[in-house]
Amino acid sequence: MIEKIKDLKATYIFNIIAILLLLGAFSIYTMFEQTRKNIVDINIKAHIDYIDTVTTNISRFIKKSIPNNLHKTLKDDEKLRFSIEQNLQFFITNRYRYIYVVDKESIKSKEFRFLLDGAIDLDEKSEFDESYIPLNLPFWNKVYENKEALYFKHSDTYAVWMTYLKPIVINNKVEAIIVIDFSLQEHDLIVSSLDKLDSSFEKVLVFALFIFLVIIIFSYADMKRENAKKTLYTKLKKTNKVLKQRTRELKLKTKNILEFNKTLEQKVKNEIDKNKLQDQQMLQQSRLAQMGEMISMIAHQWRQPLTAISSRTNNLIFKIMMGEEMKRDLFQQELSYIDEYSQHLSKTIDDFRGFFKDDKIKQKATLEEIVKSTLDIAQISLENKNITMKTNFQCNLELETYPNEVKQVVLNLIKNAEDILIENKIENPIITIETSCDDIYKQLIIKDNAGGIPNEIMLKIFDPYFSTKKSKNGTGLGLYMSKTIIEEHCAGKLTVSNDKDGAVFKLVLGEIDV
Amino acid sequence: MKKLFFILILIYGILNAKDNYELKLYENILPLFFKTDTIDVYVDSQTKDILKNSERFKVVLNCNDATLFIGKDFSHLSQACQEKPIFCTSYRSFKDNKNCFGAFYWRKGRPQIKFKLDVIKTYELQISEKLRKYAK
Repeated sequence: MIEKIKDLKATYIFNIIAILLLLGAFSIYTMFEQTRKNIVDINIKAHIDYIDTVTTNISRFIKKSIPNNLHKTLKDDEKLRFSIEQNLQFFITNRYRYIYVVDKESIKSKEFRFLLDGAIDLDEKSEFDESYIPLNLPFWNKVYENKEALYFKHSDTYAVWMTYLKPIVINNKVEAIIVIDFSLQEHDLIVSSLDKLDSSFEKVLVFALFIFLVIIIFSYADMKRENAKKTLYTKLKKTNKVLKQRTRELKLKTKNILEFNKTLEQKVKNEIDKNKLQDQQMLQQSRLAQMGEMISMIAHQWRQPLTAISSRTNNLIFKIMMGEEMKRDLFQQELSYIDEYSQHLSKTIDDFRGFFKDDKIKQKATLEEIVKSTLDIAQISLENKNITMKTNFQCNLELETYPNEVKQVVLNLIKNAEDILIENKIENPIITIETSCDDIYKQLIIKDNAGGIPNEIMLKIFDPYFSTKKSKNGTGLGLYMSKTIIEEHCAGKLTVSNDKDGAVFKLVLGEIDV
Repeated sequence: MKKLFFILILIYGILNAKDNYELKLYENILPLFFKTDTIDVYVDSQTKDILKNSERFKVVLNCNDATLFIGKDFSHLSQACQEKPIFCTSYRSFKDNKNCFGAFYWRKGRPQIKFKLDVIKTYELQISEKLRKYAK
């Protein structure tokens, strides 16, 4: 039981106490109001009962003294009047201030006239037959009509007075009215005290009501706050649960990330090394491919001088076999031819060997020199395939670059043009090489008339292992390596576009914003 | 002390209210008889206090200068003065004085007002219709 009470919220207990207080205050107030009414009624009734007894006795005394014709008897018998008035004086007190007897000349008359007056003070004493118009006249007339006593409170005077009117009825006719003006001062003091108490009770009741309202408002606010707290607590609990879960996950992820970070650097390094190796391999692969082509070119270059050497030597051998006398000059001449051809063969080897030598430092060279040097190698192959090579050199300025690497790129672009011209069986195949420059840029353009590169592969041609000539042993590395050499090693730019005749490769070297 | 002070204020208020009541009554009734805005009056000491703040009554010190007398008893005045109309403030003077054309007094705590038609006629005063019901 005690546990249950403890479990009850203080708010509810306060509410119950507040309601009980309010009900208690209201009950006490209601009881008091009833008691107050009873006290007032009883007090007034006590007054009236007393006055009624007094007036009844006076009436009985007058009727006994004057059995009939009251006005005339009193008018004629001054002694009797004086005697009765003396009797009336006995009842005069501070509370019962005026006791007098009045009548009307006729029932319709508005004025009353004094018959007897119990006033002690001569200034206040009215004379016999003195006309008199009372206030609240209807009450007075009502006594004449109803022949019954009544009382009323003076509402239009400043004093706290009531008037009691008692008819003297003789032979069922109202002969006169006994009038007593009595003070309600004591009664009013009681009423006033009760009013004060009433006012205090009202204040207590209002205060209790106010307290009740305050408690109710606070309770409501507290209840709302409690509910909000509960909701918040539930939410917080849920959130906390989620947070805990997320913290666990985060810890796990952090642990994984930390572990990953530990190995990341090594992984990146490995990947970079791998990429470097891959690039080297690709470069190597590309070079091997180019070397294959070089060997073919060397073969072309060597064919003519070897044939010439063979021819010269065969001619000499034939002459020796035939026993012809060899003149010294002729033999010397033939040997010099053979030497010249051998020199040519040697030069060819030097050219090719230089072509594949790695550049370690930048050298000064003009674009024209680079192109001419490349053409020395490729020219024979092009002539054999009836491809016309046009050159238009507009730039004779030197630039600092890696000439051998640029030569490889130029050779690669010429060989690509050559392959596509043959593949597309162009009637008048032409490869055009143009150079131009200003103070900053040196530009080299290599274009053909093979019809151009299809738009759908235009963006892919510089990708590694992308080739349109796989059936002819294309590695797909030529253009990729060319772009890498120009843009990453030589700080230039290699782009491709189509013109009306075919593909246009533009190679820009010099101070280039990449 | 507080109670005493309160009672004194109450008594003063009551008395003052009564005086004001009488002054208002005089100012409303008496000019009707004389058809003038202000009336020169000769009064006894009790009435003097009541009229001290009046704008319609000018209290004169010489009874010969007065148009009207207001009070209870003027029998001590000269014969010439005694011929002037009197508005009485007690029943006895109203009843006994032949020059009293009207009266206002308190009886048993109730205000009483009365007029004598014959005296009004003697002094050739005009009584308004609303006051005629108090006249005999």
